[in-house]
Amino acid sequence: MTDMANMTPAEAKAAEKERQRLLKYYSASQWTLIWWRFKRHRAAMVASLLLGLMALAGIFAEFVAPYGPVTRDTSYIEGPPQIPRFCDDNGCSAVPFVHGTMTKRDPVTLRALSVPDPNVRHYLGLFVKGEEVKVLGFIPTNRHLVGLQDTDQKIHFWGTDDLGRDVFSRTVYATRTSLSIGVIGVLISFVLALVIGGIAGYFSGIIDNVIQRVTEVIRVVPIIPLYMGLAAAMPKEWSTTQVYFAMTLILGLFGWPTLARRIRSQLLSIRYEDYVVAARLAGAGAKRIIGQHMLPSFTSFIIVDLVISFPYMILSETALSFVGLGLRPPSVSWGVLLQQAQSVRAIEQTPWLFIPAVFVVVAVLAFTVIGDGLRDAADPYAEAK
Amino acid sequence: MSTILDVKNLTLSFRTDEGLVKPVRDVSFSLERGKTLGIVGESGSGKSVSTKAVMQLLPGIASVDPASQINYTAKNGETFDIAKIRPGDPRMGKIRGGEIAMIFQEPMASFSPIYTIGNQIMEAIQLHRGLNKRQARELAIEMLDKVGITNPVARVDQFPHEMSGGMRQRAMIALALSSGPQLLIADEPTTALDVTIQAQVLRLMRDLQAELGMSMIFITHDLGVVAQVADDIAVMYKGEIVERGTVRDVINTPQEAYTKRLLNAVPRLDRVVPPKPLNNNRRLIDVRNMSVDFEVRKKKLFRTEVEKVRAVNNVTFDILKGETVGLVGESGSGKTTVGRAMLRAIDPSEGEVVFHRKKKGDIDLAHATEAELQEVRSKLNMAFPEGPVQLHSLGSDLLRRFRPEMSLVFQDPYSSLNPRMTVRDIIAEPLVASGLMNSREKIDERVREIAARCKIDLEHLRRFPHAFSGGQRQRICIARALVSKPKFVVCDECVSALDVSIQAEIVTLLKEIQAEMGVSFLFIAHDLAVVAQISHRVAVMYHGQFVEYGPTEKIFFNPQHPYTKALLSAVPHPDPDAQFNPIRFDGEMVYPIATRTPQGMSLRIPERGQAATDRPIELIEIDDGHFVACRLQDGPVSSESRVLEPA
Amino acid sequence: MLRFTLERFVGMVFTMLLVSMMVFLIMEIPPGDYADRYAFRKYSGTGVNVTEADVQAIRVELGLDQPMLVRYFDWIGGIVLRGDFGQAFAFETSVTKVIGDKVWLTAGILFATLILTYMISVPIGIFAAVRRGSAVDYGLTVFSYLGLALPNFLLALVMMYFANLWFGADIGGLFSAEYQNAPWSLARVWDMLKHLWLPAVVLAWSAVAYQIQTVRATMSDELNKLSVTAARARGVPERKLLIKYPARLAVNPIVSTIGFDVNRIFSELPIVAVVLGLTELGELLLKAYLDLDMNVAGAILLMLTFAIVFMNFLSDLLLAWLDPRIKLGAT
Repeated sequence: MTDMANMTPAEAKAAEKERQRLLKYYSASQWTLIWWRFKRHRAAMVASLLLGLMALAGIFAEFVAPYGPVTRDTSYIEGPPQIPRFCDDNGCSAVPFVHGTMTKRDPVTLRALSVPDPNVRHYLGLFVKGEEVKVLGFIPTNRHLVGLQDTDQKIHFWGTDDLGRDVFSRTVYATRTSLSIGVIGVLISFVLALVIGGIAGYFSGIIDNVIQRVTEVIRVVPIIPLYMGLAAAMPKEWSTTQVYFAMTLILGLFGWPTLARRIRSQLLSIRYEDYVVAARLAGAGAKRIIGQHMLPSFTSFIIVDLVISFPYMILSETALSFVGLGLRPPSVSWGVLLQQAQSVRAIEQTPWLFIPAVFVVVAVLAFTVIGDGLRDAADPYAEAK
Repeated sequence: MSTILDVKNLTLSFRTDEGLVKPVRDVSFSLERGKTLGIVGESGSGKSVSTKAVMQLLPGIASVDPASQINYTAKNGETFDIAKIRPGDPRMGKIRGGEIAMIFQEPMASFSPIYTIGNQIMEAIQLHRGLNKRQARELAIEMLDKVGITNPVARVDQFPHEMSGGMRQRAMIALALSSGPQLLIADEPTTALDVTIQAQVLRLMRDLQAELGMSMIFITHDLGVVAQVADDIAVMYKGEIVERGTVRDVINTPQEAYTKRLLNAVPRLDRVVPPKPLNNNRRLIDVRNMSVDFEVRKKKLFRTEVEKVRAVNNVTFDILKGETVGLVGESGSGKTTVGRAMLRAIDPSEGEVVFHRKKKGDIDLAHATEAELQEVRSKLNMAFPEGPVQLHSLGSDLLRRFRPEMSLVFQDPYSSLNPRMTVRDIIAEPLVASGLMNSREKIDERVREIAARCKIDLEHLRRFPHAFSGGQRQRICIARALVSKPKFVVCDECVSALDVSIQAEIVTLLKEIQAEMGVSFLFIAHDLAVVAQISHRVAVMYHGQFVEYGPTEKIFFNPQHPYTKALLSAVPHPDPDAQFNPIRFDGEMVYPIATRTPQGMSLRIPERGQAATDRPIELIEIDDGHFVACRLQDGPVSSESRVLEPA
Repeated sequence: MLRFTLERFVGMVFTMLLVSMMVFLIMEIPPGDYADRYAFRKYSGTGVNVTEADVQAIRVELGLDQPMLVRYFDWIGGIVLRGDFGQAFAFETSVTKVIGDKVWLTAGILFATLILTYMISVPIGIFAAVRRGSAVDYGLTVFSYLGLALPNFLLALVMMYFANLWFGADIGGLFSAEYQNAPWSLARVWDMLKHLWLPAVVLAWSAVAYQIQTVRATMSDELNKLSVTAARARGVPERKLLIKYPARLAVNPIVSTIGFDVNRIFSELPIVAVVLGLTELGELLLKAYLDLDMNVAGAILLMLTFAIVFMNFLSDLLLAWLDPRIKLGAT
């Protein structure tokens, strides 16, 4: 112990600060501790930010995307990305612009090509007027986040596909679909897992045995072929909405076994923790033991499990749609968009059609990294002992 | 005599998240050839880490300060500084295992589970003795025989998990000594063992050391152990050596304040004055013929077979109001199960547990306020009109309402506190959960009252358990156990996880509280000395049964049963002059034969191998309130005199 | 050991029984039944108006009017007793014929992938654990993140692209054009081996990423064990010590998850097959699904799953042999 009287003011200040820090630490609740720990995981923080941006873009897709997902620009088919610039041979400007396009025929193949016209400038603007849309489904507006000031002209940041549809806009809309399928799928399997795992963990004996067996059987079937079988059974005449919900159901219905197993084993291990026994001996009833003592410690682990099961949902949806067994056009999801990029020819000629794949990778990576960060943070008491 | 190891100014630094930590600072000690140095200290004192430096077994985050010296004289007479040798030096390969051997606290974990014991012993032999496989195997068997393992030819091919803890530690000693080291470092080698096994292992080590002329460093937290094995002693505290000297000097005439404090705190079975038996016969709890079975599920080919294992067998005793009954026994003896079954944390399979209460209206919540009393009364009385409560047959709802009358203090103060609740909420839980109190102010008032009593800073009530050390946590546990003013508290090894100095504080606290509140304790512990300090009466358990039961003084100073005697003789006293002659107990129980004589009961130990009579084993009162498990020799005795009734 | 084997064997048969029921249920899910589709196929384009009576006649002829349980036993009985998986209507021949030697091609891909996975992940995982916190370890962590995040079809496309660039066009599929339909011969096997590495690398990618993490984690745990310190204290040289103690135990979780790896590989197979133009069970399965040819699809799904269950059984036995604790301990 350092003597308080012999300290310089700076030292005293530092000591006081340290004391305050400790005081804060001592009276920090579970969630505060988890948050502190999570914050230390820098990669996970970055991943959260990225994912947050993606989710925002998806939620406000109508506003963020300059054009609708099926709006065609017949004057710019399979056009490469247009990158906004400040300068060209004719000088510089403070407002970024893109060049206009003109149609040329390839001298060899005679294929129509869209090439930039260096003499025409189209200036970019924020909150420009465009198509009439309803943000969140009910806020009507004709303003879009970015676009060209000249409303007759169109900008395609990430190029267009074979029908002249804007890849950037389609990707933004697809983000919404793919993330939401993940969310709903995870939620469905979570509810199922909670019920089934809870039943198995609570009743032991025969019920537990039967559930364990069934879980084992489902886990042993390769999941994508299983999903494919169910997806293939969807009637061809179903609407896109029906297919969308059927997909979330399929993903959700078979995502539970892994989760249920973890929930069950978590429940079993918590059930025999000393502090749960202590609560029982304090006279707490089943409701209080579960609600007050078991659930709080359980929740953080469950959140981790939920986060790490997202990537599987997203990858499964993408894979199914990719081979034509998932969502179907005109729906847009990452997988549907990537259907257009199935061949090596696409890599060579229209590589920008792979941009949605970057989203898949980033989203899956982000979820995995966040899951890792959360896992480290989920039991903030592990070190304290 | 020559010095084999001379450590000078050893300082170690660990790089941690919190920056550079120095768990060992400026430590110096030396060891003469053929002598034993005991290093004593509480947990975290750096005693284990400093010897790891000698073997270059420090973890990756550690570094040895340049000023440190570890001068070691090898078998060939060469002396060099281990601290300056880089890892991978051939000299180090020879030293490790070949010249210095090491044994550890956990005999299970120090063997790899996937190879046989013999494989691992032979590995050491082949490395250091240059023998071929067949010769190594023979030597391994010879070593196993030497450390007292029966049937070594078969044992050599067994896996570690096929052996008991004591046997594993013997095998570890065999391994360590098989290469013929000149120095043995033993890091808490007996801490994980039962006291009778510990005694055997200690003796073995002492004998082997004398036979082989080895030097030894013996690390332990137990002053009793060190007094029995060491010639010299070094006391460590917070990374520094505070006192060094011969065992006799340090223990008999300690110079430093810390050493004095430590010696004062150690409970001493050879000097203890146990509490006198209580002079009333107001019984609080009656346990009659209680047995507890556990179901062990074995998965068979097509079905699961449920096998019943009897953890507690036909136990009968009682606890008086304001009394502490100690329950001692080695691991697996069923003492914890007795405590849990009395609280109905586990359901007893047979027998009765009766909780005596006064007649209606006489509920004794001595210091309760009037309003509080009203609340409790109405709640309890609706359910329990009057008279004794048959705990063993109480339905779950009634049991829940009866919970405030009794409670449990756990062994591990870390796992028994819910880390997600504040200290205030943890302590208040028994009041809230059982519905004993509803008003927030009253609960707060009661929590503050009991917290103050348990010497918990009231400022700390807002904090979470992670803010506290083991001792402070155990105070919180005690406050929680007492907040509902229970009449009966089970303390299950509640001080065994704590360092001696804190142990002493907790024992004092429990005694004070008993004097004030008149609560009864069932004090379960494996440490006989602690039990002797606090208990009015003591029961000794073995394999689920009571072996001996009676006033503490009689059990400890006039034990009658051979097992009790063996148990007591196995306790090493922190007194270098005391004779340490543990009675060998090899797990084979011999029950005395009791004969009724005009003077009372006389006990006779049957010869080993002599056919026991077909009489059942029963607890016989051989003296005033002193019961011993034995066989009654002559004629049937009337049933009354056999039943345990308090005097 | 014999009893242990027997117990696990019975367990395996029981799981297979449940799996077959589930597969049968999946075969039953698509709207309409075999007869509907058969009739549609038979008469479509012929101008004949199909009546419900026609369909019913086919149904009776094929025994499809029987209750589900009877049909299930017919189906599974045919498979178990006669190796008969029924008719593949899209190909108008028996399922067995359609599948043909694709089983062996699939097995070839599977084992190539497994061997590749373990050859890469075990040494690298061990190395990463020993050098924990080093730049190499960090790099490997990043790699395994990527391995888990990259959708396999994308990887397949990229690999195809580079393979085309470097090795020419003849890289997709399992055979060169001249061997595509040739009878089996040594030359054909050699040709297949030459094509096998690409699907093996693609399929092994995520498995490697996953297993490196597993090996690294177990190895790190094992390195901290007291038994390792004890072995070090008795002078076992560092390299021998690493191999004999922690590394030997770090292999156990790999053995116990062989079934999962097979599962993962089979799961990715259909998608990767599309991109790489493989002609094996996965590709056939996808085709069958798209045609709603449920007899073929069911047969393949059953084969894949049985293979996984069988691998689980093998890994249990192997593990019991590797780890003496398992035989003695409770199951």
